[in-house]
Amino acid sequence: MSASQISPEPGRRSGALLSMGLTAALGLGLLWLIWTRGHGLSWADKLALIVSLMCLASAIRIGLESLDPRRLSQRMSLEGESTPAETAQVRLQAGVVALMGVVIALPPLADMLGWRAPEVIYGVFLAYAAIRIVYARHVLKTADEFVRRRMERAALVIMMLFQTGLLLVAGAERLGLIGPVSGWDALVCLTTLAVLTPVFLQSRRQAEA
Amino acid sequence: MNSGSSLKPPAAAWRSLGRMVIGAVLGGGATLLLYVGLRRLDWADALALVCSLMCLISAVVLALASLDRNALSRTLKVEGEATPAEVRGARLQAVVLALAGLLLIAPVIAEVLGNPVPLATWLCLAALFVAQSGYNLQLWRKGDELVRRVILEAGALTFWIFQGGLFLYAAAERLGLVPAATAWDLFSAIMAAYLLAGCVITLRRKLA
Amino acid sequence: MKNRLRVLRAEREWSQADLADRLGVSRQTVNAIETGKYDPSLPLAFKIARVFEAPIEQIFDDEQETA
Repeated sequence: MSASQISPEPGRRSGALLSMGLTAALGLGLLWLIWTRGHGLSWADKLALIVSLMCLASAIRIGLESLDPRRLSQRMSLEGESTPAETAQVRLQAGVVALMGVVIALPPLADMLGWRAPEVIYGVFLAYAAIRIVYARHVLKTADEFVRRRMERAALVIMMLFQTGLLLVAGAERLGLIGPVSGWDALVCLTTLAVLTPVFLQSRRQAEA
Repeated sequence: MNSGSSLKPPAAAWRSLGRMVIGAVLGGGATLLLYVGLRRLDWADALALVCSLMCLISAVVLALASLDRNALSRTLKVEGEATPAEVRGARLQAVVLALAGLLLIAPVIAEVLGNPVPLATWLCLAALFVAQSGYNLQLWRKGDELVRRVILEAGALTFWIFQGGLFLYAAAERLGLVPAATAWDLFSAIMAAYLLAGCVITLRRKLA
Repeated sequence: MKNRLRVLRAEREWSQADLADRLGVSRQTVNAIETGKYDPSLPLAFKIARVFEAPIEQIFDDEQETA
């Protein structure tokens, strides 16, 4: 066990506290909104808000960690301090994750707050899709074979899990055994899987190492 | 160029003729089904039907090729005759494709028949899926690194195609800009995306 | 990636099946490597080097193909 694990440095501890505080504030805000105005929300909308919170919490944590090159390096299981290129890459990733969190929460938030501008909200979705395409191109161009392989593995696992669930639900829905499942329900489930699967795969890799 | 084709032994010529007849019957049947089906079905069922037919025809073609080692060898683009292991592999792949085809067509057929026993049909569907997953897993386990690579790339490409499409459609649906999709629509779409990705990866690696 | 697999195999008068057996892969994989459609993993590349009793760099050419 390393010294840092026994007694975290003050900077690291305050960073973790700040990250926890911001996430808790966001979570409480969200809970208050659901409590006061979220009566008509479907399960998918509530799950979308939880996924949004997870994305934002993760982006805040990574963003704060990226302020300390040594801490970031430790998180990436690397020696020494993270390089400026690594820091920039991680911040870009955190930015995209944060945007995902904002975008997925927009439709239920719009309902709760009474915004009636579906075209504008859809414009935000289109803009995010464009950003994701540019980001994916950038990642595929700059990433090495290890990163690409990791992305492919995660994508395959998510696809298999989602396809399995979808077949069972779609068959039951088609045969009239359950009520209709919408595209939005499916998107929220797929996003949840896309957020959780890489975390699970990473923790498994770390446990194996 | 191989000039031996004009001097084919009668057995090989009969086999070729047999394959052509089977191909014509399958093609004709598929066209008839599509003609009748596409006029009556909604887009998701029509897509499921097209994907199912593609899977079933590929399964039959592969199973037939596995009966003739030379034909299978040409399909696999390797020298000489196909080995017993390659024959087994091709048949396993044919089973996986056939099961995928059945999975896609089963609910459509159930509805055409008036959906008499929905729960039993769903259990059959689940059993078919478990069997297909088991055979797929066997393909992965028995396959070498190239097979695994192709499965990995096809799965990842399917995910990216489908996720992109779903993101744009589901958001529009949630905002009331387009009609609601059903889970069956999405399943048909994901299977179509999987077939498309499989074709792209196979062609890119020049494996067929 | 370019490689001399086909030449080395021909020198030893091995069929694709012979080489596939020695490497524990399918003939399709041998064919895909020979035609440059698939780059083998590091363990498989080492196996190929051992089978041909030659260093990896004598079998594989890591220079990018000219466009």
